[in-house]
Amino acid sequence: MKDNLQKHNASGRIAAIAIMTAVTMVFTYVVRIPIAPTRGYINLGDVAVFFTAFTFGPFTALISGGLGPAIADIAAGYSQWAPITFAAHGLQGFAAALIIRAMGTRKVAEPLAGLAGMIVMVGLYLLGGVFMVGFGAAVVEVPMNILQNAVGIVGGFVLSHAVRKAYPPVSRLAW
Amino acid sequence: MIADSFVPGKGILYRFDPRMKLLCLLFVVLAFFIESSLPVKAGLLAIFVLLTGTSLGAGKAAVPFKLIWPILVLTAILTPPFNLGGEVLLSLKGRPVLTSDGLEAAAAMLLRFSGITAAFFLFFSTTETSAFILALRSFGLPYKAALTVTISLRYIPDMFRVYGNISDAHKLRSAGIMQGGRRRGFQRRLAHLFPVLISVLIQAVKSIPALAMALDSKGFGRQNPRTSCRKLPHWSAIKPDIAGAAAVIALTAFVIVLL
Repeated sequence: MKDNLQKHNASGRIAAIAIMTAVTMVFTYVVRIPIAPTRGYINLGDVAVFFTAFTFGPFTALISGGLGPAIADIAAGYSQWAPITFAAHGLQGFAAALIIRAMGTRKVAEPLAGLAGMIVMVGLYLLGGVFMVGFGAAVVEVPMNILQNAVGIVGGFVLSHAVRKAYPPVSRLAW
Repeated sequence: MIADSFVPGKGILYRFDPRMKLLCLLFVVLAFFIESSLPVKAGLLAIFVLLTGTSLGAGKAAVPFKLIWPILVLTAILTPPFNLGGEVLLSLKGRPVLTSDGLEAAAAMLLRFSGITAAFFLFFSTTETSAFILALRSFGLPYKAALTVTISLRYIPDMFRVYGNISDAHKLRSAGIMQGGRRRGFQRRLAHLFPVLISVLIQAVKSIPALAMALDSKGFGRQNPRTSCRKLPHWSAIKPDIAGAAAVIALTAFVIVLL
């Protein structure tokens, strides 16, 4: 019985990560606004990353949050950014979800989680950008990344609450 | 919708083993980071442009640079002000704007970023996603991780279709009342985006238990030996590829050390 439960948990986790990776990739790819100079466009990928963090927990957010935008980068021809994207967005979701988990249902949990995710993502892109294109060009992207994160936090929060209300069993998929 | 940038072809790079190609890619990226000589970086970049032209066709050689030209311009403009050492080449109201160190730093950044971009573009244009995942598997990526990536890639077209269907359904429902100019069209798009995203997410989340059950019924988690639809050749069968990769790495290392 215990083996069956563990087996089902493993398949459920893989299914959740795979589906949310596909969703994150689609969100990154579908709505693209060509503003950010260094990566070509800003997108709704962060909405999906924060939605996953608020709804599914740290591990799903870490893997699907990293993989989805990285696959989108490869598909869009920006594969040189894929390793940095994987780390930045994966850790962004992981940090946000960890804070949600630690703070529970407190009102400040989601804004704080969003802020932590934003700091991690913007910081890692800045660091990666400094190595790839130099400080001057990397720093230009910071305001756009902050804007993209702000949209992601608000969007992820609204979507998470809406989906949990419309489909309550989603809470059981968190781990 | 295909979630990769593979371009079908028959050149030598297509026949080169993906594991060796991945090793060469990692080494070349490392070389672009540690190499300080501008002529060596320019030489490596020229080799990649030439390889792209011969493997994918002359027209494709410029594709990666068309994608990154805005960042190249920004790098060229914004790197010199952060490197003001050396001989002053240009000054504005007595303040140095362009120096020899700044010019060199900008050139190094431009060559590094262009080279890495060209290397990644060539790798993903000549390597199928399945071969890339198999290469990662043979370097130690766990089975569950590879399975997750493979399922994700399989579901991406489905999610695009779900998004398209839901988006069309929402447009159809509001077609009669939505009239107006360009600005109203943009506002309308934004206003309609969130209901569409909510519907897409609910559809996606509902498919998770079904996928988990499908994995269970396919025997996921059993201990008996697993078969594979596609396998990479055994290491002993790719000796020429290993020798080729070793030669590329050794030659690059030799040039870097020598210059």
